[in-house]
Amino acid sequence: MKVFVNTKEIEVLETATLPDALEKFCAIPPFAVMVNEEFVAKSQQENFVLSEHDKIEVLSAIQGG
Amino acid sequence: MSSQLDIYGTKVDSRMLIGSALYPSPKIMQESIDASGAQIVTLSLSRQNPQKLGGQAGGETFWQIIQSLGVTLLPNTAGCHSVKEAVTMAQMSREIFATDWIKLELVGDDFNLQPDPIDLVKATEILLNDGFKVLPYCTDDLVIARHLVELGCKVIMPWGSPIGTGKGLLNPYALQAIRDRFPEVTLIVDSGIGKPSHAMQAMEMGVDAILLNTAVAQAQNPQVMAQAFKGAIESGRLAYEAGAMVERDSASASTPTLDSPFWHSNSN
Repeated sequence: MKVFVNTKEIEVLETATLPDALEKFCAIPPFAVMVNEEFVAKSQQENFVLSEHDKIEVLSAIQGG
Repeated sequence: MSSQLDIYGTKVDSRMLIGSALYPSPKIMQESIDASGAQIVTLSLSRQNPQKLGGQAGGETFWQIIQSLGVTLLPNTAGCHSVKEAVTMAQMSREIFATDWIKLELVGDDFNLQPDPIDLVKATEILLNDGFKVLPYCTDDLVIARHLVELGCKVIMPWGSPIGTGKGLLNPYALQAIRDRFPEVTLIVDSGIGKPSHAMQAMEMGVDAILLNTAVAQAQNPQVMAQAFKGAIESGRLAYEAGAMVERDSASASTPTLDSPFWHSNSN
């Protein structure tokens, strides 16, 4: 099935969990994640089962004022 | 040496908080932050691009550079336009930066990036209840400040003028009113500072600290400007603690005139 990570389309298995998609995206720690605009804490990511067309956002540190 | 700055019980010596954005290069950012003496540095979150992050040919990532500075991090919620966005961003920041401090920014209008006072209060309440130590970026409205203080904010951060304008303190009266009304709150002027004299003016008024970014990062020589701000902020604080003389309308000679040999000799 298709999911989106930072707007990039990624193909994952129907049974995929969030870490599967993050691995495929090659996310580099440290990062924080939300799925469909909801924050998913690190402790909840392992068992988070994805659904078709889920929108995953992987955020990391940038410069800020 | 002046007294320490209090951020929710954490005491720091420097009364200057500095941003990490807009510098000509990472090296200049590092050197400017060092020169400023700031112990608290702001930063933010955005979408990760692993190819870009991993493709810097051995160069340090922003995250590695920031960590090497040994400063306290103050993440912001820049770019958030709703309570939900700001709360979610704060939660993500807390996890990634391992801090419950959040510089709460909630844009109310893109024209001048003015904070939305109503949603700011709503988001502040949610975050305080969730254990955050909220540093809200607000306008210089006394009543909004009162709502934030009543919710439990120990720090409030009114603007001097809109972000990045460098116009200084557009409404010193309003800032003074907030200072006088809430003497127990840590008051930080955030945004709009363009020159060291602006920062000093605020500090002389009794503001506790200054948060700035563009004024240093976009200076012709950011490292030297960082030093200039450091001096101005320290001097302004010392002046406030020393207590300025009372201004008066009539002239008054500073040199004693009694026993002057010319005392009234030419007067008619």
